[in-house]
Amino acid sequence: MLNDPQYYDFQLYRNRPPIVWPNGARLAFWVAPNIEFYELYPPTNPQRKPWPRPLPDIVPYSHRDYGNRVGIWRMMEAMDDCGVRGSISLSVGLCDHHPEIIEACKARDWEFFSHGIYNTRYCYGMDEAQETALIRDAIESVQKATGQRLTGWLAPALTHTERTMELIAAHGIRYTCDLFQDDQPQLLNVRSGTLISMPYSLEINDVICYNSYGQTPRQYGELIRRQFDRLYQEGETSGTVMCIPLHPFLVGQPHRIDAFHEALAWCTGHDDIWVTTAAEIADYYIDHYCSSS
Amino acid sequence: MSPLPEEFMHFPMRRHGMDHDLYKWRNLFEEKKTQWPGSASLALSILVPLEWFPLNSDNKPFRPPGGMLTPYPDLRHYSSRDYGNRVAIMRLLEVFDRLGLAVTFAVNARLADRYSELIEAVREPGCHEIAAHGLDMNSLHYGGMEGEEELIEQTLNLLKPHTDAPIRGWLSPARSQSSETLQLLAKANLDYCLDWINDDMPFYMLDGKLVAMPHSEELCDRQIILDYRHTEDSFVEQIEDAAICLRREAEKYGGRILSLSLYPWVSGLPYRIDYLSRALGSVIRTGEVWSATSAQILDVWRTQHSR
Repeated sequence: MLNDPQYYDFQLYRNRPPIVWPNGARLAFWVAPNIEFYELYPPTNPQRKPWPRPLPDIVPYSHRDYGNRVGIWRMMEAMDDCGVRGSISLSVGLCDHHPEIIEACKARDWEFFSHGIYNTRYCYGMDEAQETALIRDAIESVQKATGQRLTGWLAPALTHTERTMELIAAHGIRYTCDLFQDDQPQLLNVRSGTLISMPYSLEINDVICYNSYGQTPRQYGELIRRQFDRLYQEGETSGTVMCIPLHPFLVGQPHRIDAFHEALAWCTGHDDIWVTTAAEIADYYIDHYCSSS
Repeated sequence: MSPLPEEFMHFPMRRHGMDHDLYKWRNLFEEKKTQWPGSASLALSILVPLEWFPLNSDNKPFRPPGGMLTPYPDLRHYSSRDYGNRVAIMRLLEVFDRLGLAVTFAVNARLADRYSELIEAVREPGCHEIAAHGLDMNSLHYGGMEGEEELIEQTLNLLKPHTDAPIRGWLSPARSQSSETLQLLAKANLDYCLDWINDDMPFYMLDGKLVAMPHSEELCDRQIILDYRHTEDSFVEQIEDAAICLRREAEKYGGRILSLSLYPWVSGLPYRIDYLSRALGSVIRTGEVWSATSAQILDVWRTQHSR
């Protein structure tokens, strides 16, 4: 086992070449709905149980199903209202299960990136052939269902192997959301392809805020505003990235959606921000700031 | 390290719709509109579980929420839950009575058997419904269990002397189910199940043999106050915010249901009961609300939605 992931070099957050986003924007702003499919009867990975109770564990299963039946439409309405296109962290199996949701996202010109096949299939213990099959499945499923070439990756349930970054880069993936070392993108050290780390977030991710930190809906809205304020301020010197990762089964609850909607409207009401998708940020960053590629 | 077995790369249920045959997927916002009596925008659906946690619970195959926690004998949790069934319940009933609310009480059958006076107090106002809540909190349903059909039968038989009308609804202890539970509930002539949390409105299960009724896991005093440790003020605010959202949707999409789950041993404490009163009062004062039991809501909904 490695004592350092080895994908990125240390770069202190000072004296970096300044980033300027399109039209002089200081902050690239994106929203990442995790549109996921969980299985009622998944196989158990030796390193992680999919559900806490014996199968069928209907409470967490049906909680997540709420996202695909109810929550997603509330979240989508809030994003439409604020003019935000989603960059979807997609369980690609959902292309088969719920093409109706895929169509609604396509109609909005949202981006699809891979979050594995199901969020109950973990990569721990996969060999190279298995992980390669997963990556190819994701690329083909998204291509077939949406016509989009897959360019982004967030490992299913954030489960990785030592090979993950090399394999996705070799398959033409251009950005990963799996690393949390920075508020700016960074070119990663991979042997083939061009792969950058894309600032995502655990800290303003609704699942962490609600379930791990136990925040109230209004506290969540408030911290989104504070996160925005600071990154907007720092972006005057060098462009920053802010991502709000969401889970429709949580943020799309009736007692939570309005507090989020208000916070989102507050962010997008600012000038000098680039409200965009992760793929567009990656393209721009690679074209303008990764000269070696 | 050897690779994962090949079953990890096989997806036998990868197909259109759900990965099981228990119910069909739907988009709630494309459903036919529901109209509540009196053209209320909201049906207020309150569910109060009445539970008995045996002192010698073995917490198998898992510990139910609220279950015994310390080494045996866990007198503190046993008697704190019992407080709900002796004292706190009377505070909840007073609030429901004062505000004119009809409530569904999901009752562990052994609790009814032990404390028949408690069930009489719940039945006294004449507007509340009794639903089944399994045998007790140490009788969980789970995949691979044996004797589930008999367990359901025993539960319903124990409850029968305590109700005039047949029991129509079921809430499993800890919302626990095996892969057979839904079929067995339908076979026992139950009309609806309160375990699933995937919708804000009722939906048919098993091709119409059973209906899933909304029973919120999120808008729940135990979840918000004990698990998330939010303040009572925030609890009230979250209920109010949900009501605002659902009322707004009702204008466009038809009547909605505000589902609340209330535990006597949580909301019925002396320092909390007024917050509950405030939250419920706020919901019924700010618009047309139809306060109804789960069975009443089901009956109105079912006449407007075919299988």
